[in-house]
Amino acid sequence: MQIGSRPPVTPSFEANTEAFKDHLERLIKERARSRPLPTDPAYKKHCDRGKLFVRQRIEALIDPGTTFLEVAQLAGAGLYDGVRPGSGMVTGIGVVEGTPCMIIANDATVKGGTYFPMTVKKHLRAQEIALENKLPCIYLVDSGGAFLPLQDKVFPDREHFGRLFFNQAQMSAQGIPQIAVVMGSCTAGGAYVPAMSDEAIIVRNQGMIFLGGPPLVKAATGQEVTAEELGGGDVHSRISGVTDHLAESDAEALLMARKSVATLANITPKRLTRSIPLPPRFDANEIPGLIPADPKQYFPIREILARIIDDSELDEFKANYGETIICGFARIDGYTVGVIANDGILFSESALKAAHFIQLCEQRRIPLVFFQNIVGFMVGKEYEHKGIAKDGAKLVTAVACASVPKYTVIVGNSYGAGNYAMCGRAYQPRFLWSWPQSRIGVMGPDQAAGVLTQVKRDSASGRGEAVDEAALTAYYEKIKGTYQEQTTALFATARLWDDGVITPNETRSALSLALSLADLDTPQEHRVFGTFRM
Amino acid sequence: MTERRAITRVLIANRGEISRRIIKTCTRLGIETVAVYTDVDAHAPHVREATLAEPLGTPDSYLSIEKLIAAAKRSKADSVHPGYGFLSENPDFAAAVRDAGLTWIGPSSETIRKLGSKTAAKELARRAKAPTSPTLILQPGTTAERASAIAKFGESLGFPLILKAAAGGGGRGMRFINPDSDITAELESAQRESLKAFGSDEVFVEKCITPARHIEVQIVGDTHGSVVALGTRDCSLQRSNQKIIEEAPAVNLVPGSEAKLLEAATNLAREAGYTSLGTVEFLYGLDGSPYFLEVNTRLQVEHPVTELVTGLDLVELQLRIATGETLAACGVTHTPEPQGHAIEARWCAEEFTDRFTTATGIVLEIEAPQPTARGAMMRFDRGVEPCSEVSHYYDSLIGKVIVYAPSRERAIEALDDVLSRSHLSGVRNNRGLLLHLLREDAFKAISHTVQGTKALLPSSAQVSEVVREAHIIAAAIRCAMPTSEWAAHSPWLSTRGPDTQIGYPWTTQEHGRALSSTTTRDGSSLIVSIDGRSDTVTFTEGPFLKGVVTRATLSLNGGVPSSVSLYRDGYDLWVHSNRGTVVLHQSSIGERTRGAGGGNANEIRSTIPGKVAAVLVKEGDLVEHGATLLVLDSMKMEHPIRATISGKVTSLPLQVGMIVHAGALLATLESA
Repeated sequence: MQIGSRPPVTPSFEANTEAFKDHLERLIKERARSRPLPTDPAYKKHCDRGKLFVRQRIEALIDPGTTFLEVAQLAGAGLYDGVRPGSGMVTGIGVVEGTPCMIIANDATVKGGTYFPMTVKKHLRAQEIALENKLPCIYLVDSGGAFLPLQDKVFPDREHFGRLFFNQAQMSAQGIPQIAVVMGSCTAGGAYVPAMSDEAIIVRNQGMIFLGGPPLVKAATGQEVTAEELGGGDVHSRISGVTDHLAESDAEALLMARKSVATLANITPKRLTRSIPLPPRFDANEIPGLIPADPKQYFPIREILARIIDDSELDEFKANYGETIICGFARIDGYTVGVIANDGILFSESALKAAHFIQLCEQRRIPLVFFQNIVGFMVGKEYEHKGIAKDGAKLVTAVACASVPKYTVIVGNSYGAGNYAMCGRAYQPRFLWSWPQSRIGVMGPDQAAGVLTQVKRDSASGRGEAVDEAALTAYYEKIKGTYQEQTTALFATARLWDDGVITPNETRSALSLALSLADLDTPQEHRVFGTFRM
Repeated sequence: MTERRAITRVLIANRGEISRRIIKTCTRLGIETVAVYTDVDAHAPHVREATLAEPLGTPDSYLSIEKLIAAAKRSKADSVHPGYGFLSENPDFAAAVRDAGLTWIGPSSETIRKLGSKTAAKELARRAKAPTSPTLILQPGTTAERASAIAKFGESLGFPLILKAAAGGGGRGMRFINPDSDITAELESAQRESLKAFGSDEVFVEKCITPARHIEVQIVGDTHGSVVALGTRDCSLQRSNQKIIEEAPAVNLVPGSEAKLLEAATNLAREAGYTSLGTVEFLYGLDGSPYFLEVNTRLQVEHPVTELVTGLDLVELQLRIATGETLAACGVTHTPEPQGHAIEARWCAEEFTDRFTTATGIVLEIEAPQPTARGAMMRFDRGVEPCSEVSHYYDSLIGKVIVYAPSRERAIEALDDVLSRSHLSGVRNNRGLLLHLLREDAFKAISHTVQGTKALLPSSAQVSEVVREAHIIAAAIRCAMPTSEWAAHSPWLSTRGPDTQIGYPWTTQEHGRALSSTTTRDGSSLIVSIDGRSDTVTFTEGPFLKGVVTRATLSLNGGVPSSVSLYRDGYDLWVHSNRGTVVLHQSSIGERTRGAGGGNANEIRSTIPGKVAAVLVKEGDLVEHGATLLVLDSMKMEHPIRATISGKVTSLPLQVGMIVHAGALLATLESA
């Protein structure tokens, strides 16, 4: 059925568009901040040494004219002094010699490419995406290793530095190629990136690999040695055998990496087939006008979907049952998907309907795309008595156990258990993106402030004390302010709660690119759901 | 009179395209063939195609009479076809074949010997009343005496003069003498080259007829006294005395002069008692007067153009005459009226972008398509197939593209069409030169001459333009090309996000010279910018990738769309367009290059592979700038290696007979 309609000509459409523009501008500004200024001394020094900048390296590595789907572009934004959004690393998927690859590239112009906590998290997230989508990994190494002042937050834990190499070994064992190109320093723990790779390339007089650098060697043994003598490209390609190919320049090294990827054609997984893509019948540029400036206000999700899916054609499932959730088959840029989108609060019926639809998609091996705009499950005596908790649990079980590729876009609110039921980060969607105005939290700022103020008021009354209304109002505002700050998309993306903030306009192509990577090789026996509480 | 003997098994004492061409006719006539091959030719196509094949051994064995006769006996051949080049005009070989009781497919040993000496041939021409140019036969004496005789001859008749090997052909041992020439050096060099190539150091001098066209007459005589001229050919497009483009018939001749040429050639052949296929070559003054040059007593490289306009199979004629048949029995009683026009282009392993030095390599692909125009057809005689090696041991001729069309204009168009779409990857070649020459107005208007060809060669600026164009084509294809089946049907080409860099940078090298470009998209076109100049590429078809080959039809700056193809061999890209073939190297892009340095004037390196023919100086010698240090013999030509500065020779690690590869250090000098 064709969905969507021309947007009504109302003052609110104009006002909504204006309000959304603020969010877009903030996003554009952050993205710009992730790149160095041409006057940046570290950037200038890097280029003056004949090295390509990390983004140029990626451009030279991927097939010309193809997209680079960046992951976690704004990771770490605002978290560390003197560190641009991105945390000294560019990660993303690019097509190399016709094969989609995960590219993990250090940016040596940010604190020597050292690893901050978010750099580690970003590296691990990129590896996770590679593992789930069976993407060969190409590491463009130019890093001084862990950022030492923060060693307690990057080194010891399960999801810290050591996990990088654990993942490399695991992926290699699963037949996911690991290729390293050493284009700068690669010190201490970092030395294991090329050493743990299936194939390693190094640039002469530029790439350097050693467990301990010249200062450490001098301190430990008194031996004086230059970096190039200790662990330069010639040493590792001729003497130690740590690297397999010696390049004369960044460009040649990247060409060698391309040649290496060109040999992977025989292990390419079977991916989704694509039908002829049809554009939506309505313009995605109208979406900002359809989203109220006040995040507490409802907006009809069909109008949003009509501007993303092919031909605005949605084949709805149980259209007249559990109407606050919309389920249906659609195509996104030619790829058939099952769409699950919120159109109001979740009720028992909505949860049951969505759980049923997920089982259909699982049986038919159709990927799922979730569009989140949810403040939570309905509350109240009537609903608790009807067992909304166990119906919600059925949906959460279905989402958690579905083995088809899942994708999530947070287009509005993402609060509480609604986040779980709609495939939030914890439910391992292959990609999760947020829209710039979206909010994520255990609950909304008003609810949180209201709940906490109520608790305080109750506890005061319980103790029989007088209620200080002024103090309570101040407390309410404080809590609300904290929640407002911590629930924004930019706050979330800086902490890698998503894979990036994208605009409504970019959504269709982002989903399309992600879907193009989906493989359907998951074996039959994996399609098992947990107990559905009846 | 020769007795009538059947030919049932022919040993072909040759290789390459001519060996295959002879096999073709023999096969059609039901005659068995014996191919011979040297160690390096063991896998050559002619070996596979012949009925039998006999190994000869070392690479120079095609010049060994003894080995060839032994091979003929071993294989029980009853006759020998010499092809062209090698021993084809060696009277001793013809005699040895006859003495071994085999039939020699060619004129008698005596005729070859008589006509093989240019001086004797001139005498014969005089008797046959064929016009010749003023000639100086050098009397025995010292080099100095001979040199002064040459100088006097030049002063009285006017320069330039031409010094030729009496036993020579094909431009070998040939030297031009101008008033300022070092006559002694030229004389010595010509004698040395002649001795090496023909076993005789006899040279003579004649006045150079300039400007002139090279017109030749194909003649055939039987063993019963009949001689018929089969028509004319124009081979005026020559570089370093090597023919590049030949055509039949010769047109735009002064009225009446064609008859004169045919008559002179026929008379000369009759006077010589000529009993096979041969060619009488003339220089043709622009006033219409022919000057007899020489007689080639063999099948010519350019014989196909005559075949295409006469419908004759010249190899068949050779075979039938050798068995004693009469020309009348072969249906040849008078000069046939040529039908239409044929042009041959010699496709050679010569660098188009690097001063025509000889090239070597393994053929990766070779293709020449039929012309698209109606009424035109193409014949492709080639000695190589994919995987064949083109080595420096033999001639640089890879193949001959011969087109036939109703008129000369149509034939030029058809050859242009064919060569534009032909491609040869793996061996650098002269396709670009051939296309350039075909498009020259002087060639189209037949106002070109032997001496004027030099001015028609592409300038270095024109060559750079072709190289630049190749880079543009490769850059555009690279940006428009899906690299896998999956990528072609994925959104990765069509959804380039707003956050990706636009201009795509790319660098390639051509002969060590780096070219960098930036490619941007402009609607359906691509803009490729190099050094501030931008060109627009619009694809009308493709690019389509199949294996390592990409094909496309594209228009450059809104011009007529033309087809291009690109062969990827590791880091090398062979770019084929309608302006030639250019090899781009993708490694060390625009930055530091492997083993950088180079360009040291004190180090003299070989630009070609070859064999040391003479070493003229020794370590410690003081030499002047420009002095000849040594002589390299490559592809049958002598290449003098000269001092790049004045100074002392500090090292010279070579001896006569040593093989050097391109890039090898020949000598080191220390400036005085």
